[in-house]
Amino acid sequence: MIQIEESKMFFEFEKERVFRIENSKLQKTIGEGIKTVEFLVALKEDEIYFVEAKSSSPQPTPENKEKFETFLNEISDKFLHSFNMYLSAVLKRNHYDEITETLININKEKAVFKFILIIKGHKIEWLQPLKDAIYKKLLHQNKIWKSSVILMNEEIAKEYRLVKER
Amino acid sequence: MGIQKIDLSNFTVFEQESIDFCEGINILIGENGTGKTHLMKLIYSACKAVNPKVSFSQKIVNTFRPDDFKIGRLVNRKPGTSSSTVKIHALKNNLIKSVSINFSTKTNKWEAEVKNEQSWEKEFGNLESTFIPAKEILSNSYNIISANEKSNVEFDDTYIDIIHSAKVDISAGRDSMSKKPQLNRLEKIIEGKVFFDAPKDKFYLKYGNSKVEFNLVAEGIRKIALLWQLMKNGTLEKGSVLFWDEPEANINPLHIPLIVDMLLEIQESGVQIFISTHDYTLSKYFDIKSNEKGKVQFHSLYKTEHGVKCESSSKFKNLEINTIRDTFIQLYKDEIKMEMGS
Repeated sequence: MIQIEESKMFFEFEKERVFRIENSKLQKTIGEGIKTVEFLVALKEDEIYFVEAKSSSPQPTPENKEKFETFLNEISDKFLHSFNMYLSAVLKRNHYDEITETLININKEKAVFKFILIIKGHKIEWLQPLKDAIYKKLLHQNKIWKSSVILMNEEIAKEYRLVKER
Repeated sequence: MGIQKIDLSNFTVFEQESIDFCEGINILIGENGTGKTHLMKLIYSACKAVNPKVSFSQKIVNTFRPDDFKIGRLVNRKPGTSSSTVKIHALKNNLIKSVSINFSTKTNKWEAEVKNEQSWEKEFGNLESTFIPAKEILSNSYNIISANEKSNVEFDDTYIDIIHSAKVDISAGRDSMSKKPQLNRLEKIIEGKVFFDAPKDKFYLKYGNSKVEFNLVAEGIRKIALLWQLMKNGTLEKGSVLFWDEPEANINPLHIPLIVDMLLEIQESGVQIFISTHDYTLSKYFDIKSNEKGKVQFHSLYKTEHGVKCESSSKFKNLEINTIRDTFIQLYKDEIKMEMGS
């Protein structure tokens, strides 16, 4: 089992199902300026989750406008860069040795990609507008790949066995 | 004047309940059948009863339209209940005045016992009040008043009254500086001005030199046009009371922030407002925008074994019982379930 602690949340998965993309060789060999999510995980057959964990998010108030926009850009960059990096590894264009069999030998016809952001302590009613804003940022990506954007708080993430109870 | 409180005893869906209102914007939420419109019609009837020509009890009958015009049909239907009392309190110069009505299931037509109606008229005689019903009516205004008087059609008084209010002549003078920006903003949405053709008894929207029949204009635009007309002709002035049943109905969500801004500004100019809504966007915008200006109070009506009860809070997000928010949360949970495929 692999245990990961991020943004004061605890994750635990079978080793074979996870790829810690952050600070991976893949990221380092590509070079500077590449942003990543925390990890990729395959909990179901043919489904790859790109998981980013946050301890908070700025409220979209007028005084936070710039901060909110920066947050949106940062999150969508992390998802996009991670997706491209992962795909480049699957196509063996970049370093791929550290990626497990489950994640590297995906079913190329069926694989589904989900971008999941987990924010600790976030109220459910705050998730929808933020999800819509991130989805809009990734609209073209989602249209091309039929990918989804899912926002959860810690409680919902526990329901879907992403975050582990301690 | 400000409506301050209502005491309800066995009136329609209510058994025993009292609700305190704020002098600003009172937003009634709750699922269907929790009495939001009933509350507004009751208070509206009391506001109209400041006119000596209008009887409180008859106005209730004309706004609720029970069968055979029998006010007794508005008594709560719980077995063993036979009479109802409603008391409405209003504030004037730091003094509380009230008017009350009592009737039973056997009361003939609107022959209810009303207390303090004369002093109510004396204290608040010049009060203006307006009720905007959920359904737009101006596009069907032609001949409707006389048809209603002849009982050829049946519209409750809120529809008839709003037609009268909208027909009030537009003041020839210049718009006051405070009114002008608000009117301009509404004109940008409706892209024109309201015009009432008295000989034809019809409303039009005027775009430059051409005019379009009201019934050819989108319903959402007609509702915003009605608000323009009421502001323009002075119906919504300081000291008046505005009731608006579901302002969001048929309005593009894009225009909701502007409607909220307008209502906050109207309230700040001294108009007390009562709104009923099922809309998340409208409620949230009131929550956000009232941080900067305006006084807002949310009233969440909910069903219990002992009739409908009410929880009030100045913040939408702080209501313990909030069906709009809970539905929104459930929608989001269902969406995640769908996306996660389990």
